[in-house]
Amino acid sequence: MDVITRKICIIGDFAVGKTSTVARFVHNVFSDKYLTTVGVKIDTRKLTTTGGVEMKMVIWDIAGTDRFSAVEFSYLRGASGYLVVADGSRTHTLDVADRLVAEARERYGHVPQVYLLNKSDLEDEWEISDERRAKLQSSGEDVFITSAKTGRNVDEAMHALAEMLDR
Amino acid sequence: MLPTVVSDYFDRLDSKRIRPFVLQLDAGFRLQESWGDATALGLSPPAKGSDVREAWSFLVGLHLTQPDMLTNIDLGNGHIVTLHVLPETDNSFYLAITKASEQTEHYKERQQQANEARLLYQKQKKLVDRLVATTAELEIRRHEAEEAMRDKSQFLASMSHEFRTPLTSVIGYAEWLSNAVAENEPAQRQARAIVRAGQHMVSLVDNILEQARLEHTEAIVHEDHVDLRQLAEDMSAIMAPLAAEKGLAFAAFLDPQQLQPVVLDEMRVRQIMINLLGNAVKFTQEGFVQLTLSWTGEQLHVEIADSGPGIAEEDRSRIFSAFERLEGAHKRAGAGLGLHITLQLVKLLGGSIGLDSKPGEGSRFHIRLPAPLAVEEDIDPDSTTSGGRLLIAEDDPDIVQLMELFLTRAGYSLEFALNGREAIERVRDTQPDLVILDLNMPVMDGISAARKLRDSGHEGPIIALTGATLDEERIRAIEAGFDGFVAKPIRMPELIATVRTLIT
Ligand SMILES: Nc1nc2c(ncn2[C@@H]2O[C@H](COP(=O)(O)OP(=O)(O)OP(=O)(O)O)[C@@H](O)[C@H]2O)c(=O)[nH]1
Ligand SMILES: [Mg+2]
Repeated sequence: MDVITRKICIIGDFAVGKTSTVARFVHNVFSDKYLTTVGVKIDTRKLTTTGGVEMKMVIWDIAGTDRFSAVEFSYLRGASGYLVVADGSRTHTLDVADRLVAEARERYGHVPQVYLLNKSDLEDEWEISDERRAKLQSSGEDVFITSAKTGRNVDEAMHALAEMLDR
Repeated sequence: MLPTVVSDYFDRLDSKRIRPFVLQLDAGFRLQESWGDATALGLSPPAKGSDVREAWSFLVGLHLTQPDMLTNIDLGNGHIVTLHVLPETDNSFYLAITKASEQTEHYKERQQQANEARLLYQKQKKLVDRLVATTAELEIRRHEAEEAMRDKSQFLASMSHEFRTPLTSVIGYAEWLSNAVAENEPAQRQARAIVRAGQHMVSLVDNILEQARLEHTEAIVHEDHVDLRQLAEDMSAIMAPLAAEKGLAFAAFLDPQQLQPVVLDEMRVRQIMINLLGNAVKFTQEGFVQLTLSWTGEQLHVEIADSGPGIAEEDRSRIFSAFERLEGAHKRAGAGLGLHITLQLVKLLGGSIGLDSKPGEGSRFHIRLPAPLAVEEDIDPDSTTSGGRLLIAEDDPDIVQLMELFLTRAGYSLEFALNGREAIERVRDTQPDLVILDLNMPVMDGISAARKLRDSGHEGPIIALTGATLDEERIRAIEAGFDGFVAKPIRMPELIATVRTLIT
């Protein structure tokens, strides 16, 4: 059986839930406690695409930032795909996500990516408007409303990215 | 011995004491050679000749062709490392792995604190923003409510205005009738009854108007010179027959020491007394209703006592707590608009009100109102008139007739106009001694007419007849150049007195 290995980077502003999303995807756990990531943390998980390809995803969970510096750019090099995470209860983090994508694209060209609008369990706090999301989708992005806390759409988002890399 | 490329590199980094694990790889990541101890980093050393990426997936995607340093990589095996990429030739690359420096821990703590603080700040800001938005929203709602209230007040004001005009005719003619049938006592009594009922209706309309005005917060206190004896007599004239109809005794007492006029808002004081006396008569089944007016220390004391059912303690405090927070009071049933307005009026006039009562033992309202002595103006209302020519502009024929009846009897000669424009022409032609303008007339209203007259240099006195007693309208009228007002329903003695003060 074919096994392919792909480097994936998960990017976004601080505290949007990048580490939590990886923890949900890889270990199926969640913690309310916030432990900020310094540098990058690497985790892996295998999954099988609809094309029957077994893919080992090497996920680089990069410390949140609102602007990439040389350090982050060296982490991003060689990534096959991006998971772009924003915190749905903080609209501003989606602006940050867009900017990070633009910066990465300028440096490394177009890389497949999916957007995760995370913390969807915080319904009362939700800020990102439907129009904003629709606009993102109509510009061709795959957008998932996720919750690392409940697990909603986390696997779906990961699989969607994996499908894009199965070429 | 480390390859020179590598040892030079670490020399330059000034990190001589670091003991890296070093791999030499070809372009296909196949391991050529290795130095150092991989297990110190929690890694099992890959076999020579194999693609190191298969054992160490964190190397997937790594570019060997250019020098690079990737710091703070948490391998997920309990070790945090730094990767150093050192290309030597097209097919020989060194990859050094070192333990992350001890500073990482400090750095991590600082970043944790900074991020938590930023998160907290953002949360607070969100709350504040929400608060601001909510406040703004509330402000809009409040504004809308005020607007609605103003519309309502405006509606009530114009409605009561509509009522006042026909009431002028009803009361005026009934008064005339009662004089005309002076020798026929039963007929005169009945005519008086019409006058009283009419006046009662006016006071009801005034209540509504007053309510509208108070809600509108445009209430202005008027300073009239009030003859307390006259006031007591008037109250008697209004209330005694009402009390008599129910078999109640009515008495009005005036402290005989105070016979000089005092400064008071007459209309509102009357309103207060009529409301309280009216309630007393309404609720008392047998016995008496009594009004006592006295004046001490620049204050008017009004006491209204009855032998009615009395008011229980809790109702009493209900009434007076409503006085403290007047806003909600009119929503309460039972107290009635009259009492509610009375409380507001007392407050408006800067007075105080108290109530002694026990169930079964009657009630006694006592009110104090500031009322300084009036400076005498020395007008004798009974002096015989020297007469004069008056021009009256009024479009309601009933009221015209009524004024004709009273004013000709008072010795004036009259001319009439149906609207403001006609009045201006007549003034130009005949130069009357005094002009009376109804404010509300077709073609040209009284205010515009007065303004035109003043602009054209007319200096004679002008009196306004106003249906609405809105202060706003009074202010506009003063600005337009009026010298006096008479409110509808017109009390003919008041009209005559006003005319007399203006032409001598
Ligand atoms: N309610 C809720 N909280 C979440 C969710 N995902 C993450 N969190 C919380 O958000 C905080 C930040 O989560 P992390 O996963 O550490 O965020 P991060 O993006 O990795 O942050 P950095 O490493 O600082 O960039 C933590 O307190 C999490 O418990 C979610 O889906 N719902
Ligand atoms: Mg993290």
